[in-house]
Amino acid sequence: MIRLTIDDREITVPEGTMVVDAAQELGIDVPIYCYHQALGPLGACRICLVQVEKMPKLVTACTTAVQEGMVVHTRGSAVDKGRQGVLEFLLINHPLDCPVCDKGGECFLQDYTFQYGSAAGRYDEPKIHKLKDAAINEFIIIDQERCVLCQRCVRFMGEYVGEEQLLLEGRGVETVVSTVSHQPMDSQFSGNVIDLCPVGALLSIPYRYKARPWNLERAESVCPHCPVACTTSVTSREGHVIRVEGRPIPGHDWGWLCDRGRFGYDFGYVEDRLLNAWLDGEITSAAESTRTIGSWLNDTLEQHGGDSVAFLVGGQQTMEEAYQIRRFADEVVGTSKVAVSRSVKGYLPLGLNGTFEDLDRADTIVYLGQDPYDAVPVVHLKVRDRYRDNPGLKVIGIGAYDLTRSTVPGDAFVLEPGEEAAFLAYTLAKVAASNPIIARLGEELGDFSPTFKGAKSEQEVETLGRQLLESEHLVLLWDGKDPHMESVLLALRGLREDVTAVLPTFGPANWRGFERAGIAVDYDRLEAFVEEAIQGKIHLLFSIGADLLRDYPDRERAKAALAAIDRVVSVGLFFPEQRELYHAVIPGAGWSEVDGTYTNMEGRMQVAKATVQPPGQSRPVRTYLGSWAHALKKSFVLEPEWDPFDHNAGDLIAKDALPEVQSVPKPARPAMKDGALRLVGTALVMEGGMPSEILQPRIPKYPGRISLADASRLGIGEPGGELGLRGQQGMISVMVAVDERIPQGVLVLPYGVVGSPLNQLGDGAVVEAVSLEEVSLR
Amino acid sequence: MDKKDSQVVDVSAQAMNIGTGVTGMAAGFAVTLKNMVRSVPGRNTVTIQYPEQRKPYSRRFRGVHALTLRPNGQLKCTACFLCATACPAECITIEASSVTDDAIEKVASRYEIDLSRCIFCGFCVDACPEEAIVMTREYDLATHNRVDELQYDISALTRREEIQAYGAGYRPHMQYPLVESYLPTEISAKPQDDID
Repeated sequence: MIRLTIDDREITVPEGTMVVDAAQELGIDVPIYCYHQALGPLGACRICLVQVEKMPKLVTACTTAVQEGMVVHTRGSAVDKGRQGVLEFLLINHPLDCPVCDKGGECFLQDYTFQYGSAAGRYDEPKIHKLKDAAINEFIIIDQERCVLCQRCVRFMGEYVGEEQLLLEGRGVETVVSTVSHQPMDSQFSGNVIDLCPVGALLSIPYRYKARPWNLERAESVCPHCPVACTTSVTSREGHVIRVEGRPIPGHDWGWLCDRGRFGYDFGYVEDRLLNAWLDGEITSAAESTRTIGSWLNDTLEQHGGDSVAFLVGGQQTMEEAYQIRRFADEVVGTSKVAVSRSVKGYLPLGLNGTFEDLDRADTIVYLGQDPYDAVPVVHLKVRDRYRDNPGLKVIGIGAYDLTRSTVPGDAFVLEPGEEAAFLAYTLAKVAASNPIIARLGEELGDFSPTFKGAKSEQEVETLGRQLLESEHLVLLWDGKDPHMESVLLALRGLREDVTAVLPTFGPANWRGFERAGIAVDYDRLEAFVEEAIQGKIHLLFSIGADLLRDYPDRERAKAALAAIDRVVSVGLFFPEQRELYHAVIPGAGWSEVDGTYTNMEGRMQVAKATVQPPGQSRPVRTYLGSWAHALKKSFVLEPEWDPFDHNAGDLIAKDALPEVQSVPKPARPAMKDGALRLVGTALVMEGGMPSEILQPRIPKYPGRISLADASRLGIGEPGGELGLRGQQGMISVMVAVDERIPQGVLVLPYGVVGSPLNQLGDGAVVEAVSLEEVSLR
Repeated sequence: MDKKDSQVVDVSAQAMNIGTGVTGMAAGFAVTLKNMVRSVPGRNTVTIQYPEQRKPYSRRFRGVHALTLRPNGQLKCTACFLCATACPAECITIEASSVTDDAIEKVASRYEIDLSRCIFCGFCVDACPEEAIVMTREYDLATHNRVDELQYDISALTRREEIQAYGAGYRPHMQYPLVESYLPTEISAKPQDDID
């Protein structure tokens, strides 16, 4: 630890701390443009000049490490004169167009010029003109004249994300920030450069000219799109959400967002948003729909009893809403049939659940079945952050295709689809056969042996096994697809002495919160509900924020279930798929319209505040629950607020005891004919999720991905093409693109995406693929 | 004050005193009579025949607003929202949009002043960094319908005859001419008897 004095106040900080950070700890504000704690020192902008006693000249606080006995002055005539000079140079070619600049009002160049700059410039020559208003991708506009060349954006993309898409071009006064080869940026993390830019050079296109910063309202919120639940700040004006920014939490989170989270906020305003109640395909008044649904509920309860009513919930709502739904089912209706609509079958016991702090300390990270970049992008960024700190980080991808990326290089084990659990058990049995549980798992697998696409020797499998056993801090990211993986993970945890943390990358986004609110999320519940519905045991269904046809792995079965129910009521932001199956569709309120708590994949509860009023006739779920209870002439008190937070565990859900290890069966391998493709489901946060007009240009036309070999065989070139899939339901067409990471014979399709027939054909199904030209010839 | 200290006045006794009433009335009528004599038509008349007759008033009068134009006829406003921010009555509504013109980045695609809420304080004119909004001397705003006729949009704020008829009123730098812009219609010569 090092002691130093800043502005006559003493502070003790660890060695290697920069003066600017030490000053910040004391609450002393040193102006900065180029420095960012996540990116490290650069010293490009020179605005952070401070005076250090016994040093001949002013020094930059962001590149000067603290030293014992240092005496720093952050203000004073010399410092102010230095900063004034720096600002005069920064402003020489600045257009001074603050009145038309979206940053004006929250701009560091403006603020520091007010604080330190001179009132008038002395530069009389004409200003150099550069590119203004040039889009660098669908969401971001660059104004090179306003740029102060701090290089935050360039360094963030190149060094932090590892996708070099921005660079400095030109020399001297002609230097500008530009994209590589003048191609649009396509990174998932491109929007972060808007938050990083200290001046008005990189601005958001959807937010452009929407407001000035001083007439905005900001509310602390949480991103609703994936289980990472990044902390965000939602900006609204006149009751309309117009911007989402990252909300850094010092010492815990940098506040990075992916583009889905940053720009996908307009789902509340798209054309498809439900604004009216619909009864049997006709628009009706809110009062009429409430009366009708209340009478349906009344009739069903009288004729068939409470157990004939079921609730299907989507897992996107707040924990408070989930709690109210469960209470309504218990107390008013008297049914135990509350199921969560899900796409994957796996469940992760809370005791195994790790946190993002585990990622920060990990020495080995294993991806199980899912590339986090696709499903939970910010987790990929956290892994990359760890890789930057610790280049020795071992990353292992185990799945049906190569899950690793060049930004975080790793070792990929490419297996037959759906064999991750068996492979992991097989690997553990190789290195820890003496353990009775592992030995039992090994026996159950029988003569299973994995086949690798791409050469992997038995020795490499053994090395993997030893890594899994011996690594000091193991983190596994699990896609939740194979329910047997739970047992393998439990067995692995039992073998290891060091930390074993598992992070579930699967949705729905708030499933852990629903569990906390008392709604069991296991897949068996959903399966039991579908089975009972098909048997005609359910007469009234409330589908709240759920879309069974979109989520359930077997579309035909879901359709049969919904068709067999007498009356189906849907509450949501949008029409569910095949709305003719629903008897009433009433508009719900969602994220940014209701206050509430969300739980993320760490099991961490975070509060999101409501910013705007629900549009049209849409109302929060609790309003509907209250009115239905009223129709039954029962009292349902909504007021006593439930506090989801635990007094002992804080914002994390308290861990419970681990369950027993179950069995892991030997996976069955379907026969593959020549030219057949095996389907592999994956979660894609950009393509999937709620509709957004802003994101539309970025969402690829081709949700499917196939190997280069299959593509050339089927005649699919760049950028992609249409493929016919012949399954049990006849011919289904799907748009596919080529992905080099996918092995031959595999077709990767996303869950819950329009144009992805995954749940029509079934995850893991073998389908015959034909090029569509061939079909039209027949 | 204590109750017993207060003086009790017998009002009814005073009312019975006829002398007090008569002198009071006489004093009142004397004022009336004096003003009646003073305002014999043609001498010190205060009342005028409005609207045919009008009184001189300040050149800096804060009347209805006008938006100024650039030499090429485009709106000078860049939709910086400073006027709407400064407005204490919150009567200014602006929507901005971008234009493809190289010289201009941002323009107001909608600019509305709700004159039924406006208090004519002139803060919007003070706040404008570009003299894009000024006030005219127009003051007679009586309408039949305050919902529609007092909502002034861009065309009303630039292309009304009254702007020409009344001329420019208050703006912060009145000693200087408008810079690189002009009022939508040329300002007519002002009456000589106006007060500065």
